[in-house]
Amino acid sequence: MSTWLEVEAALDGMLARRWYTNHGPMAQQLEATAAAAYGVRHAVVATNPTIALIMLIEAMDLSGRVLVSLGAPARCAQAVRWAGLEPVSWPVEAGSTLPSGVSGLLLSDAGDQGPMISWASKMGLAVLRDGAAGQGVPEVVRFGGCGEAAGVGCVLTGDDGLAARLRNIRSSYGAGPAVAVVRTANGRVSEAQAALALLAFEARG
Amino acid sequence: MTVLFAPPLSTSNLVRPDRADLLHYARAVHAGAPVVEWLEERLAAFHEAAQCVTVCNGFWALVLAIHALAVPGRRDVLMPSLTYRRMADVVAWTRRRPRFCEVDPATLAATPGTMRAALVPDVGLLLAVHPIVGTCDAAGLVDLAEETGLPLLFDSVESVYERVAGGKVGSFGQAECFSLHASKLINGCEGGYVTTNDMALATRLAGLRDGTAPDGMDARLNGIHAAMALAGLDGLAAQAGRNRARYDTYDRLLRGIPGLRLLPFEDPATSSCKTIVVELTDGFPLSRGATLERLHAANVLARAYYHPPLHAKAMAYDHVPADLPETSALSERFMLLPCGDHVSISDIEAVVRLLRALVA
Repeated sequence: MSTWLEVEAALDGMLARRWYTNHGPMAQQLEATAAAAYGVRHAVVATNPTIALIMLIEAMDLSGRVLVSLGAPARCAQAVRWAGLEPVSWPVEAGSTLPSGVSGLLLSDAGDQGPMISWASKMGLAVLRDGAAGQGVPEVVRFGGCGEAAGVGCVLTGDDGLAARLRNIRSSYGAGPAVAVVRTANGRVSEAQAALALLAFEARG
Repeated sequence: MTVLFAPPLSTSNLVRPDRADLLHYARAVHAGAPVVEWLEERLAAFHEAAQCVTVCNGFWALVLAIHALAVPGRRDVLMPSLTYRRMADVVAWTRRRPRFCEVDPATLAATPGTMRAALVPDVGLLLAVHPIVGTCDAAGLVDLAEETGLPLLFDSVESVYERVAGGKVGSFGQAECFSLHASKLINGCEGGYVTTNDMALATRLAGLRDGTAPDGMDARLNGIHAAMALAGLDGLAAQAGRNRARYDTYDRLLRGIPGLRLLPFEDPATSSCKTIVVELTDGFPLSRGATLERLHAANVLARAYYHPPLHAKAMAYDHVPADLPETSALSERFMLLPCGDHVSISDIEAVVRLLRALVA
């Protein structure tokens, strides 16, 4: 938890810059810090983890049904539904028979998911992961911060095209070069959110 | 063209809250006080509505409100085309189709008549939008909704401060949606909210917003954004006074420029006067495109009014194609001039001098 003096200084910085949202310097710094900390090419921050997941599923261009780890947080199935797809709660075991019409696998399990990811790739499924990092697939992690109910969401990926689509879906601010997306949204992280998430990130080391 | 302003002069409000007010509320957030609930109570009272449900931003507030209100099984949301550039995308996230209607040239808003003309049995929601300056015929649209039995949702993002015949904006229809984006009247950095007099709807919206409903999502408002918005509410009357001075200056100085008509606030004394919109009539010597190009060259970031209109944009999702000649013509005639917290009276004088030079 950040101290009040740290929070006060962060808010004073925002007031001095008079830059409140629209992918300002704090949001850019948060993305750069996260990308470096996790060792990925792209960190794309979003309003919260659920909205980050919705944007990610949309950007991955999945179709039909998506397998969701049994026992995953409710946001996983909800995000799949908001992206217009059907979540299928599934006991994740490599080698199981696939239900019909499945295009993706949303993992939410911690630890080494390598065998699962290898199997899913062989089956032609796109894989994404919620709540943990380090497996080399698109992953959503959370940063806390003062006042955060849900926390800032952040998609980690090494895929340039996916990151570009995510940024174009999130907002025209900080979108980078225009790429085709079906629907845009608002997944912006404000300067206050970003500054306070950075404090929490730094405190966590 | 000489660059007149550095940094550029924009049309975004970007109101800086009073520091002491912001820190007062932020300290309460840090201490774990229910600041988001405080904001909901304040906003409900401000809009003279029974309930307010805050949301992480105005975009998802609209999505959740449409999802909650649209008649199940009907595919279309009826809405004007001359509006927020993302509004069709908003509807697409609810897996419904945007169906567009014309607007009234006098108000730039959909009316009961233009909506009635576009009604088909597949319409499951009337989505009315208050224009950037002035208001739509809220009472007339309520009558249309009652007559047709359709739910009525207002996008009232640009009319936070206004009062119309029958009450305060925020208390009409089934619900009204607002934004707390930094460019809006109340600066929460980001944020949005829905007002309603329907307790059951408020409960349903809160369940959708909190993700406790199976068809919901986590779209809760951040506490620091609530603190910003509360500080903005505290300073709202003073802000409206500053905006009025800007509006009065434009009103006084633009009168001498042929072909340029300032869109009037019906009663500036009770309006926020936040946004300045002008019409380039047939008497103005330049096209809007050429005018904007020359203003931008001087770092005056005036903006076209809702251009292109939604029905003229490519959409990769299901929608109802429309031919709306009135809307298409209107979308070529209006532009927003610099306004908001960064714009001084002397800035406005310089902008108007530039416009005079363009005419000369």
